[in-house]
Amino acid sequence: MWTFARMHAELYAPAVERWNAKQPTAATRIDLSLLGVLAVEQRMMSAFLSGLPSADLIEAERRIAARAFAGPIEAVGFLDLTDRIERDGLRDKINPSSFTPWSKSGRVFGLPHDVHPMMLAYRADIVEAAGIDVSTIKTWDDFVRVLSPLLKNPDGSRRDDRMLLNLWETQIDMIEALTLQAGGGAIDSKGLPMLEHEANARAISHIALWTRGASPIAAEVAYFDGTGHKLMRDGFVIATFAPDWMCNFWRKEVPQLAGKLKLMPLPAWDVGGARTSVWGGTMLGIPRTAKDPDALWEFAKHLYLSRELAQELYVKGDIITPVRELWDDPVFDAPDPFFGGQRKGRMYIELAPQVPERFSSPFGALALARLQSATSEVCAAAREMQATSIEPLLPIAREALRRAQADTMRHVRRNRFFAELSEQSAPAGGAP
Amino acid sequence: MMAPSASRTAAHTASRDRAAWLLLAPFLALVVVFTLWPLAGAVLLAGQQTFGPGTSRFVGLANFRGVLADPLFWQALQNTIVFTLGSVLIQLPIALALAMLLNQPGLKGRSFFRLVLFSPVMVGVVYVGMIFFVLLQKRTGLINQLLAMLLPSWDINFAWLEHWIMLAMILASLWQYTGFNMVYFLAALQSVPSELQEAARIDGASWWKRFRHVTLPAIIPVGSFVVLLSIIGSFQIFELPFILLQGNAGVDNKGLTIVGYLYQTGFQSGDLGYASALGWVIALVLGVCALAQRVLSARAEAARSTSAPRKAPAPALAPALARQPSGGNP
Amino acid sequence: MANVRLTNLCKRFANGAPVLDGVNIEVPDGAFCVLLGPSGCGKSTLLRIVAGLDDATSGDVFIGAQRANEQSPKDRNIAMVFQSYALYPHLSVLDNIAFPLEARGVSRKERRARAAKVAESVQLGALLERKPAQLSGGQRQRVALARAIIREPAVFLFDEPLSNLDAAMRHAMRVELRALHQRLGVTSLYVTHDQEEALALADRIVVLSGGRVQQIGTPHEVYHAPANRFVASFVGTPAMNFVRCTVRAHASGASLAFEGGVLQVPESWAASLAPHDAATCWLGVRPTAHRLASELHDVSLSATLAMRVASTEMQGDYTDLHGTGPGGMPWTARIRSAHPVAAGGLVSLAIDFRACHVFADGAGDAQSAPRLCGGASTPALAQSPSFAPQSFAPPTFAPATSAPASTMEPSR
Repeated sequence: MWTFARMHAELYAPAVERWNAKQPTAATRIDLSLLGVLAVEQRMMSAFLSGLPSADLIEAERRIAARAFAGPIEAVGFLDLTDRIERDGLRDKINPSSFTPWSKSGRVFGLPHDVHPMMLAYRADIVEAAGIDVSTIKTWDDFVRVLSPLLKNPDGSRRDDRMLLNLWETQIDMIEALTLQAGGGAIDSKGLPMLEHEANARAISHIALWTRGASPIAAEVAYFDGTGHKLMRDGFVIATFAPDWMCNFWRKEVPQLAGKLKLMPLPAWDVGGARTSVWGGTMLGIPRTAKDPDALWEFAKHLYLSRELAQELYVKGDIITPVRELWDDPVFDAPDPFFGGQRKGRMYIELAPQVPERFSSPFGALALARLQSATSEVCAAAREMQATSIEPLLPIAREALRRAQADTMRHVRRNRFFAELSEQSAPAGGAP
Repeated sequence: MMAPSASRTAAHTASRDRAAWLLLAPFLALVVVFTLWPLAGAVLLAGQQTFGPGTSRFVGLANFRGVLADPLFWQALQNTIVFTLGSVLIQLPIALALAMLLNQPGLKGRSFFRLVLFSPVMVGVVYVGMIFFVLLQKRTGLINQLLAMLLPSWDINFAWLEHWIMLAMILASLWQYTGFNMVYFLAALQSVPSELQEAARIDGASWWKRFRHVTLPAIIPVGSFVVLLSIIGSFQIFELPFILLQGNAGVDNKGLTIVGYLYQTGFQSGDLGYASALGWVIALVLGVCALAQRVLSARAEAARSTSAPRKAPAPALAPALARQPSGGNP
Repeated sequence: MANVRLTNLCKRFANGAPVLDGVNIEVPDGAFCVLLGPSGCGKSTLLRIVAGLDDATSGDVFIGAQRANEQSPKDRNIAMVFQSYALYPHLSVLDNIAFPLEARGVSRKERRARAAKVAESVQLGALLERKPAQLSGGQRQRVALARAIIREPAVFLFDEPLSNLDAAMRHAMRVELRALHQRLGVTSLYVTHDQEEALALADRIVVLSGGRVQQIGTPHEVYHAPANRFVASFVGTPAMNFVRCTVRAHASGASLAFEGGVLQVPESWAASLAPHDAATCWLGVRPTAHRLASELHDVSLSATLAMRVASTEMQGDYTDLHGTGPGGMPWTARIRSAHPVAAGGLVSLAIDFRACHVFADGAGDAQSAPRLCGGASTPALAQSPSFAPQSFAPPTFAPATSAPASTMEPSR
């Protein structure tokens, strides 16, 4: 079995040992290897393209899905797990939105590892010192209004300024998360680009207004390097997007933030709207070339669905399990001192059912890149017109998205297979 | 009488041929397996529409038509040309100037400077990317901090890695490769005939005239080779933007290079046929550059072979000179 | 037009090794002066110092009345022709020739007119649009010459200009250069290691060795009255033969004794040798000074040496004999003979003392010890009755050893 994350490898080792101890023969024992993300991706794709065997179990990250699931269903390199999932009643056991990234035309090719609901992490020390109560924040408009007293030098003058939100036009993952939360996204359930969706226009207009408007509230803080960590410690931004796994990253990489951060659900786009989104994701798949799929399926369930792993995944990795029946575990109710004693496991679990569905497509990367370009166009417009509201930006966003959609569709149409397949599967895909 | 001897010779030749082929075999096998076969595969692939593993269809030149009609291709080409021109027109004159400075007779610490200027090449491009990623950050980057310190009006949020990504890339590769090209020029400057330099000094030629009539003609063969290397290297730029932009194409695809686009289509979207077609277009562009270089340097070489021997009477040259008909040698 | 005067010129390398060591030369206005010496003798350095391409460590360079030490090359009113021709490879013949004028800001029209005229004068008229790569070696050197001429300089400097040409071309160019000098009359300094070239071209030869001037003189002087053993051995082909001997002065004249024999020298030498009685010295014999004793009509008139011939080289008009001569020294004799000489035998050679010289045996720098006597001052062979061959003239025979020797036999 191949995995790409050190943390995963460490968590799985005990479960693998328990499994191996119970196996009567060497044939069904598991050998766990930790590889780099790119290495897993390249080896897996080489194996799929050449039809040669690879590892019997591959843990894969979301971005490989576009390539691994391209082509006709019967040519996908992973084993179709749909029937096994139905047979073992996993469809209801697991949070539905966790299946969609690993699905194609209603068929599922991977066992989901996580849900990855997203909240906002905010500098509770600063917010509370100012006497602000974040529980009054229900929508993004509330967020800007309630926290704006904390802005410093919003005109962009140097060094000692402070912003409200870590968000920038280059952060493709955040753009995707916000459009998904608004009900849009880059790819629809058929795997086709859906950039023209009105929710997308709304989301990117806001992003432009917040980052490049007349009174910006958002700035960029890099998530994964030292410069970003420094700005986090300095309190340059009040709030940052925080899927469950990000909590673990900060705990390990920026321990100075302990006790200073707290979490709150994402502000909704509309009152009563979704209070969360999603970022990242992992699945466990069985390549078609594997010799004993039934034993592997048993092991996969043992690994991913066990209570022990769910507990360890949360305790050691801050990640909540997609298995709904395990959500009652008391481990999720433990107060977390890093986040000011919040019972953050429970908070994430409460948001899990609202996590938006996202779909995989060979055109996903392209569609997202065009979505980002469209966002940049609106940002440039917002800066030029010194926008103070989203109304003038919306038509610009719609036009930019229309062009982005057209560009992406040009590539879709060029692919003769895809056109044929989507025609065939369009009626069938409707009834899972 | 002749027959046995002739057949022996034939047998001898045959066995020699066999030995030759046997000795060549390992090399040929490597070339066939790792060069010719993939090359043929790339030709076939460029004519195919692929869709996931194991599904493909011959589509003729559709991929090439698609490439030529693809605005992203043209943008990537334009970005790459901008980067290439930046590399060639900024980097090479600086490299030549540095080489000429280091070539001054009587310069102290020459090998120290040479080492210092050359050493960035020894750093992998990925590390260079990571270093410049940190250096060029908004707010926290050393370069913005320094500039803000020196120029009070400097915007500390100057976004090198967004709208100015090409400039950032040119800067980073300038830092990395100037010393490398300098070493080429330094070697070329050794071939500038010193007597010609002196003749020009006696003739009263100015610095610029000496550079134009003596130094430049002598280093043109190496110079044009360095230009070609720079063009090829610049055209293949991939790692630098990949690192600087964290795997994306940058704001409004400003950092999308042509190989980056190949990666995006082939390895992110999985459209291998299209990526192959892109690869052939790149190869074609570079082939034209290489051809131009050959023609150019052949011409320069022809003009140079004149300038006869350098220093010390080289006996080998005498017959060469004698062979030339006095009427001229076109 | 100007004379060139070098006073006390010294040049040391950075490591202190001397290249030029107190050189004093005066080249009169309009003279053709050749600097001759083996490689490494400092002649090229000397020329480069005159050109201003190198600086002297000490001493002065005067071009005309002007001290030129601090002048840059272009201000010295000189033109230089290099061994490698140093043509601008991408310029046409015409542009190469006109180049010095361009640097001086002469108008393009005038440049081209003058260059064409100069090119015509060196027979390049038909090649004006060619590139240097399309020319033969001789043509290239003519272009270099033309480029020097067009400047109308006060002094021409030549740095081994003919070394890269083949023998025939070298001969032809030599004649041309000589004619050119006669036509223009420009003071010329010409560096070469080829003594033939030096003898053919020069009004005046400066022989250099080890950074010092060994002799300054006309070609005739340098050849027929070499100042010291170095000059004698360097000038002349094949090189002069030497044998170490002891001076014996006596009332009737003088003789030179060496291992294995004694040679009675002409009367005219006696006075010069008398003060050096019992001193060791070197007898130098030019290979051309020999004749086969067997072919002389009157052997009795001639002094002879014995030589063991190891090999012979037929050269056409003459034959070179190589082997060992008196005192066991390596010996070369150039003889005119109608009959072949067999290798391996012993031959008796009559000596023409006009082509012989005696040099003192200096203590330190043996090569530069001065000449004592010899050369053309010696009476002609046929007119020297006193030079009785030892074998036929017992009275003049003074054996160096007790062993009677009919001829000076090689010791081995």
